[in-house]
Amino acid sequence: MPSAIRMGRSVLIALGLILAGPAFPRPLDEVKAAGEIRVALYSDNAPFSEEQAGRQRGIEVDLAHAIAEKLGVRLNLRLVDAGENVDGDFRLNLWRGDLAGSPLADLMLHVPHDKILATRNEQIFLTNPYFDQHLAFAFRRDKVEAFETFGDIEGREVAVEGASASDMQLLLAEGGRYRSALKHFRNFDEAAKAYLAGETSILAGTRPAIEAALHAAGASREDNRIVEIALSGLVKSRWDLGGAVRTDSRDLAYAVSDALTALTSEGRLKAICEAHGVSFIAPKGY
Amino acid sequence: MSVRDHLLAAVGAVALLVGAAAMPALAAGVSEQDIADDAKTTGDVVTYGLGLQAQRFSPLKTLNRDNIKGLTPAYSFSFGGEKQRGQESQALVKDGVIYVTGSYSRLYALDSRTGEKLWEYNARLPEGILPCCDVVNRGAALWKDKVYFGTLDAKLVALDAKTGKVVWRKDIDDFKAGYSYTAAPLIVNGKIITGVSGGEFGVVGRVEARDAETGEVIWKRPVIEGHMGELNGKPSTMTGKVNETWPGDMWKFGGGATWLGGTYDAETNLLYFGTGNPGPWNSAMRPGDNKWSASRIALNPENGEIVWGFQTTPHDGWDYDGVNEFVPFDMQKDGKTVKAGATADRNGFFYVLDRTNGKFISATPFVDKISWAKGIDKDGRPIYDPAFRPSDPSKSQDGKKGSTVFAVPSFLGGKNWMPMGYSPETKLFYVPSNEWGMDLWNEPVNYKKGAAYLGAGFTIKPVFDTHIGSLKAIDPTSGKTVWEYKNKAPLWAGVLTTAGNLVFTGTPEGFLKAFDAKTGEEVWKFQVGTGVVSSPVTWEQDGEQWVGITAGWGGAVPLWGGEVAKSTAGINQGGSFWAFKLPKTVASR
Repeated sequence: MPSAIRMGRSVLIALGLILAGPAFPRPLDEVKAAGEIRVALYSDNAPFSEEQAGRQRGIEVDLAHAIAEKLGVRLNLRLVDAGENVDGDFRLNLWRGDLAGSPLADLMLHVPHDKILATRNEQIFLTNPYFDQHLAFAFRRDKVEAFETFGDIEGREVAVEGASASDMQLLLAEGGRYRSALKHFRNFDEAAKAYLAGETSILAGTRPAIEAALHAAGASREDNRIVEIALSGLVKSRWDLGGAVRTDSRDLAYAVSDALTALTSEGRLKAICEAHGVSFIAPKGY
Repeated sequence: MSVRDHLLAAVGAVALLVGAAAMPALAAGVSEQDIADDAKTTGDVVTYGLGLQAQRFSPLKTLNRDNIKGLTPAYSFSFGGEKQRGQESQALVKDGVIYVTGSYSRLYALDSRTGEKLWEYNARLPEGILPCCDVVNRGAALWKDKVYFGTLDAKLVALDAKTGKVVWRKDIDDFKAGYSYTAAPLIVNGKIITGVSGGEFGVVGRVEARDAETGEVIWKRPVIEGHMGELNGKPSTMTGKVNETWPGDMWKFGGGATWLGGTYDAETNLLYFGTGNPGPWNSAMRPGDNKWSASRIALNPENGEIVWGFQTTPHDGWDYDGVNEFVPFDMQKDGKTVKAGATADRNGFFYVLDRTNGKFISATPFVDKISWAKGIDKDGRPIYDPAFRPSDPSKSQDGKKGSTVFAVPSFLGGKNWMPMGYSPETKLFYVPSNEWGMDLWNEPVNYKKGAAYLGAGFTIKPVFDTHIGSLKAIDPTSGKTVWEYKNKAPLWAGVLTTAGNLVFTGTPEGFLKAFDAKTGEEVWKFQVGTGVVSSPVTWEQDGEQWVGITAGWGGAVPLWGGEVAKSTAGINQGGSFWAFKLPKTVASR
């Protein structure tokens, strides 16, 4: 049943459905005993995780390998399609499973580190965050002299992924003044291609996605500036990313948090990000 | 009794293989005439809706309120396996075979007399399929020697009706892009007509016709303005005009999924389809009527051209999908016969339109305490109450979620997917409705694929303490409710009405119930052991009247929790088809 509101549904209750034999998420001692950690990441989520020609790549793919290494276990990585929302992804990947009965994961990464989200999903438990996600814009310096306020969008076109946080900010900004300036695309990748091809002079999205797209295209950062512009309203313009485990595997979350702290302080996370053309931004307070 | 009936009766239970082998020579399959006459013929049910108009009326009179106590279970067939969940299927009956679909895209052929399984088709669903709501299927279609149904991974499958072997299988669309299929297909003049299901960004509703023989697409009609149609592989005409009722390029991804299928009227030669809500959900982001989302459209079955459109909820802000069925009927008013059609919308109003041109005739509330609109004006447009439209998120005073509105009905609708019935005898519509509203607000704490987005927060609440479900008999000439049956849990099952002055429907509490069509008095009930969320059928066989219903609790209701879940707590799942008959000895008493 299609529905914008249902897609926005935040709380799905347990149906008490028993699936035939999904492997359940495990606490630390079981993960260690098995010698393997099962990690779920999003497919089609560059630069963090994606599958290209059968090859898994991205910042969080490398991060998952590094976490497994720190825990002294093998990595069993599964790239999954995103569901209706993150609450649904918890259900599908961490505590109930999907319709096909695929194995559940021990750990999910790329989880917004949000207390309200955690509170309403009592089946899961969050690790420490590892990345500070920001909304941003890229603009072509030859077409846009200065881009300091939303008003500078006037008379230009912005490529943006439909129904993304950036899209919603732009649709609502200043009473919808810039609505007709938006060129919507199914995903960020298509939006970035349109921008890089010169179809628009501005690209909206998350900072890492913009940086990685410019990096991959070899586009000069001198000619393509990245800015963050504050906008009040209900749409978040920044949030932290972390991991999540099932609530009865808290010791695993603590061990993963320790691994993340070590990888951050050793500079490995920064190096991983940079290898993908992305600036590492540490979460505030960690 | 046909030759084959004698054969089957004679060889009895061991006859499965013999019967199957004998069928090709003896059974003619389903002709265009069988489909056209389905509403009149009592020995079969070859269409979803007991006729393409989908009035769900049977002229059978054998069974009535006086003898219904003798209605006896004949058999119960289990769909088997662990794949239970919601069973929303309406069965078809032809030449001694029942065709019924089950959850998780399964189709069964049963001996209609004994309930024995002849064959089963189990669609192999791909890993990673993520249907938004429940894994239901609403039924199959029959034509010539084939039986058709759609699957959760958005494929249309044609099977040999005798063997269950695949004849062809076509992609309606890509399930990975969020498409699915759960409706019963419609077959009109050798074309199989389908809509699309899907709620992801980028899904635009459309209606499609294929050659029922080959599965090749003949025409496509996107329902959102600005999109180009297709006929015989070439671009045909544009739906509406670009930017007439949508800002910027938002029409490109406008929504309007046609997920519930359609109806057809031979007299006007028009297909009638409903369209889903527009996106994104908050209406402040898309000023304008957003056509043809939340609408009924009439299409020419030959070329897919839109002949007329009527928007029930222009500029929808409450997720009032406009998909509910449009049922053609002839209305006697002021001594004249009006070629009318009726639809009970999610938005709580019961509309009567001129089915030849879509002209508005009337709209009256069929649920209590509608809040989002004060009424419908003389042109059929809602008179909005701005106090009950979710607020513009950019005008949030505190930077938090903003105001919460209590909108009635809830987004699950005054009526949801479950089809109503119309009796040409009593001239009443029987509408399975629900009395519920929703607290609705902008919810900033929402994430998709790990990224923030602005979703809707909501809580569905009953309007009354006593009941949510309400089966209403509505007089379409006045909009007045003639009788009402109240049910504690929400109603989610379709309706059947008969010339025997009966109305049948099911309840989540597990009862198949029958009512006096004129008074609403409950005259019979039977407990099937699990919730009923499907549409009953009736047919005549060996001189006896039979009634069939699919059983199995599920659908969208158990997904939403809150107060509503309390009324359905403890209902067990299931998956079965029940058949009942009135034995001759009882009927003749």
